[in-house]
Amino acid sequence: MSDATSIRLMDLGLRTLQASLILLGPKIWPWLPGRVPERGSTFFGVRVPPEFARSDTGRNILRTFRRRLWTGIFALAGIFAVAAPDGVIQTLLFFCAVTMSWLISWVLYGIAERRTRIDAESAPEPSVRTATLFPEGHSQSRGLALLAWALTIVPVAMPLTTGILLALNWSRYPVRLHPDRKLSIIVMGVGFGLMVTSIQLALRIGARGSDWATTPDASLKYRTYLGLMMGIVSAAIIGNMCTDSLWPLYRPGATMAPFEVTFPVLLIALGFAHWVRFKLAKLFDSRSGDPMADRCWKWVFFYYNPSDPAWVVPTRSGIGCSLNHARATVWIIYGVATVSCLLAFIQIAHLVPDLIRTDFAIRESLH
Amino acid sequence: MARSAQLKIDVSSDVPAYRQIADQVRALVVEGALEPGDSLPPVRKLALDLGIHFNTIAEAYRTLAREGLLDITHGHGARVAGISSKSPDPEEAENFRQRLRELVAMVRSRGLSTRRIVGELRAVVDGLEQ
Repeated sequence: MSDATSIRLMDLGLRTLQASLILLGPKIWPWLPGRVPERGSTFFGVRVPPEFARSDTGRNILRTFRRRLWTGIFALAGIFAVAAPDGVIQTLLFFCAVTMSWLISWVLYGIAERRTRIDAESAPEPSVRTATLFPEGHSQSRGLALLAWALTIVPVAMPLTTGILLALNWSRYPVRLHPDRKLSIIVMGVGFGLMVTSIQLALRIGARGSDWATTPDASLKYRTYLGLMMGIVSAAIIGNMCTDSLWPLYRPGATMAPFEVTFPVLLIALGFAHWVRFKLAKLFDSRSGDPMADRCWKWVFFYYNPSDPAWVVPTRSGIGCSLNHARATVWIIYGVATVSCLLAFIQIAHLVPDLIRTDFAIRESLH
Repeated sequence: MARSAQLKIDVSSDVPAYRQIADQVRALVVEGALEPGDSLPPVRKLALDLGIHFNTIAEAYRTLAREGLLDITHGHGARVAGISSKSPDPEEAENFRQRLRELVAMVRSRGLSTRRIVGELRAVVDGLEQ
């Protein structure tokens, strides 16, 4: 296959993958038809009488929200698929589009929440809380527990090992490939990995046994699978960074890992993540109520409750998790991730115009 | 089959949370749902599950330890010690009678029928005898 065909195929594959990722972002997929945003006695996170979700007003709010969300996201994915230029700019625009899709879902959820508050009769906040006196985790299989631990350690261990290997082989690394910048990317990987690992640990030791499910064992199972999904997605992204950085050391002449190697791995990881996602949808029990008050949610999605010892709680719709922003530990996690990302961005910011220039030059020479 | 014992607290109740916890654990020990030697969850874990401060749980555990129902050892957490078999203080029986009379008067004034009250008391006595 010629280089030009290979690059064209790579562009097409990447474009399709990125457009589908925009469409199926974590804030979007729970809103496929059939799902009602209920958890306990809440609707769009607002405590309402139990019959509200099935009333005409409730259905109307949900229909409007779903129509707006899917129109917005389809339009965004469509514009990206058709209009984004090939190459590095496409990847940069992809990150912008993902951020945009999150913002759209955030704003629309906020509008639906406001409409629910206005239209629904408010229901009393729960004051009864329950806990079991016997420990959880008896029914968890050893294989699942081992896999969960492995995917907790890998997001940090992988970039750390890569960093050590880079440092040990510093003199052998081709200077034209900027080893210092590669190391910066790895530092960013360590920060990102630390954040993911911390959230996975928080899901084990800092989450309530009655969240996501009605029994502690079922809750632990949900949390384990949620950790697995985070682990696999982050391991795929960080693994990609690490492979790209180490490839020139072991394949002289190569600038980065070839697409034929990384793309299938990313596809497998994506497939596994989707399988876990379906599993999570099955495991989630909407009867598991939110024991805390509505007012603990700031700016729609941010949980802030100083009197709650939990580090991590279910999101308002119940799917996935949100951190308790009143806990100092959570800000330490954010701090580590932000500092390492900033360090890397400062180091590689001036690399972007270079990358775009090189990318254009390669494409020009091929046409 | 795994045993289960649940705690339920009402954060809007006039009764302090630590008292609610201590009362329920005491009842579980007396009814046999918790047996001597059973470990109770760590203070922080239970606080997390109930969404309250860990000092509240620690206070409940300390109250029960003072009564001799729990053994609290550093590094091993809290374990059920069982019910003391020593002869009770005569004042204790008098206190019990007084509190029971007050409780009966309170629920009667809130509309619970005499027959229902007798039924509930009999159920408690039956549970104790079993």
